Parts: sequence; structure tokens; C-alpha cells
Amino acid sequence: MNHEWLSTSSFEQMNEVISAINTISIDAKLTLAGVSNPISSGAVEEAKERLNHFIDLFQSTIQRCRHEGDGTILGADPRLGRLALRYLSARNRLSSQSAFYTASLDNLKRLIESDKREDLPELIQYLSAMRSLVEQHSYTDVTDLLGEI
Amino acid sequence: MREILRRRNLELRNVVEVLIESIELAQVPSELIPYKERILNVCKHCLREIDLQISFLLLDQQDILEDILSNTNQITEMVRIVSAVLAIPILRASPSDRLSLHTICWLHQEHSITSQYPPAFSSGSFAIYPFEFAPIYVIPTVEQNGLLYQPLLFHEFGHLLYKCHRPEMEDLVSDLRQDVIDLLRPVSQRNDRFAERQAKRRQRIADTWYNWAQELFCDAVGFEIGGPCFIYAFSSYLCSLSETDFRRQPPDLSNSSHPVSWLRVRFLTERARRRGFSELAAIIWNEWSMTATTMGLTEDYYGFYHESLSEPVIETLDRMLVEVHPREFIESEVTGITWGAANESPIKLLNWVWQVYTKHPEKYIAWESKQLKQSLEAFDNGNSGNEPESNRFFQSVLEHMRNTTDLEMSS
Repeated sequence: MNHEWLSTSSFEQMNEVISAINTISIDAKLTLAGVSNPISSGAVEEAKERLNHFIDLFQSTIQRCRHEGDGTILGADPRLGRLALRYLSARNRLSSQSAFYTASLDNLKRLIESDKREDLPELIQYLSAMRSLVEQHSYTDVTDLLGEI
Repeated sequence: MREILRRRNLELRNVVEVLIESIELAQVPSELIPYKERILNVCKHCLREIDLQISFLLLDQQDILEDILSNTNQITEMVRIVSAVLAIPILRASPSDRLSLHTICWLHQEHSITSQYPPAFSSGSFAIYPFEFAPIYVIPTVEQNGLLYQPLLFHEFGHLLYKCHRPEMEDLVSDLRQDVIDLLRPVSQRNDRFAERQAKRRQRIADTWYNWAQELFCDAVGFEIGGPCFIYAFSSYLCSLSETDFRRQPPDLSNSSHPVSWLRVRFLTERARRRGFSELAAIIWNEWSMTATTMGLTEDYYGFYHESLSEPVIETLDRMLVEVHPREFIESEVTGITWGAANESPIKLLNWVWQVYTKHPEKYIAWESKQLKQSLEAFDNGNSGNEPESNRFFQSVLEHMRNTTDLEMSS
């Protein structure tokens, strides 16, 4: 009776998020370059939907972190809670380096939904910072499932 | 970088092709064929993803290299998980897998929300990998071929049910964690380093309860599905006669994945008592208490559990069960030994097995081995009814056991 269930669920969730980020990021970059994307527009829309869903969940976790006055985080999977803490900690440290940490996540959602070409460079920056945060976080899940040599 | 990524993707392609060939060549019991097909589809999906990265590279766009790199990393991890975890039930398959495959198949089929999942398991300590495309159970080698510990699969199935109902489950667990924090929070709070340490401690305990709540829920699912056979199997398997079954030090409790076994037995026997199995609950609880007394141990959870949490925990577990609605045992499946109905469930069989085992443990293994062999042969020779295969199998096992139990046990 081990805890593979925890790592499996978290791995799948993070894998889905990173995959969605990459799909949207590639689409945005190819659009800016005027190059046709081999991925269908339907698949890009699905990725946007998946990412927005995760951002909603992530936002509510961050809200809980802020609202608990005595520093406790409740409500969510502790692994997601730790991701929220990483985000808040990086937000304090890197405030001048990435819009992902300075602006609100609502702005990221707006950029994901936007049809305006001029929004794409900012979207790409956001996605890159978010991917970096999630990839670092998912390391534990992968090593739990695969171990290390 | 472009060349490195191209090479990595070509290497991944080779690995996936080897995996596909190995899986296709593997001889598996018929019960495992749906899982085999599903994993082949996962491999083919990986191939498509690899080809997509190669086509991205051909676009010759410097800006997207970091995205291709991330995608290649994702595919690498997925391919390694297929090789290290997902392919194992197929590549290690043997005819003796059929018993456990049937138990898993029956569990999945009995619940509409899991009926689409094919049965599969691997060898190792009891666990489950609840992958979205195909959950994998893990069963120790001896236990996977016998009937005694099949009920522990009901606990692992609880993890799958939790995942299928995750949003509702998380809300309920969240409320329980709030109760834990409220019980631990002092009436007045200081604003100094001591208060900060205490807050961190409360957080550790609340985080630990996220894991514990799910495990206690799975124990409750196990009992609701299996009844007494689950408690017998659970108590027998979990009690390794080690001090850590009864007590763990705070650093080992903090963020632990499972509650102390004695605490789990406390909640399980309480559930059994509420369902009318007071005698069984007392027997099991006394066994654990006597062992603890012999070791000179008393219950102490170092603040991770207090009696005042009992009620909120039980209430939360009851609400979680209402949400997932597991198939509950019925009285005729857990009392008496009668046979004749066309749609007997494995629950009846497994409860009967524990009745036999508790009466004649010294003769049990030989008896079970003989019955299982005969029953598998009978199953292979074909049953032409319209019932699901899993049901026919268990009927066959039960019938053979019934015909021989009295005779062999009295000799």
C-alpha cells in the first residue's frame, strides 16, 4: 500500500499543463513568424481550455494561501499548495524579471483568449515562466514514479 | 540544438518501436488483451508526438526550440513510464494472473464510472497507479495467486474511485483539514517565532491529513465492498508485529502517506461495529491491543490524531462514501455458506475463504491450491452462459470449493 496514487495523479496533471503550455506557445510563435502550424486549430483550442482550467484551480489555491492569516494552506492537494507557495515566493524574489510574477493570472487568461496579434509576445513570455515553474515542481512526481540512477 | 533534439527524438522512436514489438509479441491471458491494446495505443500516440516534434524541427524556427525541448522531455518521461511501469503487466504476464485479473475486472464492471478501465496488475507491494488511460494495480507475488488477500484490492480500487470523483472528494477532505487545523489552533495567538513554529507544525499535520484521509477513505471503501473478509485480510496483512504498526515518531508521521496501522484498525473496526459486526470488531481490536500490550505500547499519535477528531473523520468518510457510492456487500454474501444462485459475486467467495481460513489455517493453503487449480481448468474448458466471464469464473471457483470443503476439512 504505497503512495504511487499521489505521484501518478500529480504527474498526469502537470504533464497535461506543460503539454498545453507548449502547444499554445508554439502556435503563438509560428503565428508571429507567419509559418503554418502542423497542429490543428482545434487541438490548440483544447490546449487553451485545459490551461485555463488549471489556472482557475491554481488561482483558488493561491487565494487560500493569502487568506489563511496564520500561514496555513488548506483546501487543496498539498502538492498543488507547494506549487502555489513556490509561485508566491518567486513573485517576491523576481518581481522585476517576469510579467508572470508581477501581473495577475487573470491577465494570463485574457492573453490566452485574445485574438490580437500584439498580445502574442507577452503571452509567450508568460507561458515560458509558467512552464519553468511547473517543470521544476513536477520533478518530484517523475522521480517518485521512475526513481533515479 | 536542433540536431540534438532531432537525434533524441529518433532515439525515442527506436525505443517506442522496440516496446511496440515486445508488447505485440507478448502472450497474455485473454483478460489482459484490452489492456494490451490500450498500451499499444499509448505507444502509438508517443510515436505521433515524436513525429510531430521532428516536423516542428523541419520548420527551421529557432524560437520554438525551447518548446520542442520541453515536449521532447515530456515524451521521454512518458516513454520511460511505459517501459518501467505500463508495459510490465503485459511483459510479465502469466496464466496465473487470471485470478487477480478477474477480481479487478469484477470491481471495475460493478461501478459504471470505472467500467471502461481494463484490468491489469504488476508485481510488488500493494499499490495502484491510477493512470487516466489505464490504472495498474500492484500485488505481491504470493498474494496475487491466492484468494486470501484479494480483498486488499478493494482498498486500492478506492484510490481509483477517489480519482474519478476528485473535485467532490477534495472539497470534503479540505473541510476535514480545516477541522484538524481548528482543533489544533490555540484560542489566543502570539505573534512571535514560537507562533510561527506552531503554525508550521499545524500545516504539517494538516498536509499529512490530506494523505491520511484518502487512505482511511480507501479502507472504508474496502469494508463497504468486502465486509468481514476485508477486515480479516487487512488486519492480517498489515500487522507485521513491528512497533511501527502501532507507533511512529513525529518526523516519521509528518507528511507520511499512510496513518499508523493501529489508527486505521481503530476506524475500520468502528465502521464494522456500526454495521452490526460488533463481535468481529472486538476480536480484531483485541488482537491489536494485546499485541501492543505485549510490546508495552499505548496509543500515542503525537498530536497528529486526537480522540476529538474521531467524529469529524467518521462524518467525512461517510460523506465521501455517499459521493462515490461503492457497491456494498449484502448480508447473504457475508453470512453462511449456501450456493445455487446463478450470479454469485466474489464477495461471497472471499468471505467464505476467510471463514474457512480462520477455522483451519493449517490446512488452508493446500486446500486453496487444489481448488483454484481445478477451478481454473474448469474455466478453461469453457462455460457457455451469458454472464460476464468474471462472474462465471467465480461461480466455478465457489462451486468446486463447496463440493470439497466439508469433506476435506473434516478429514
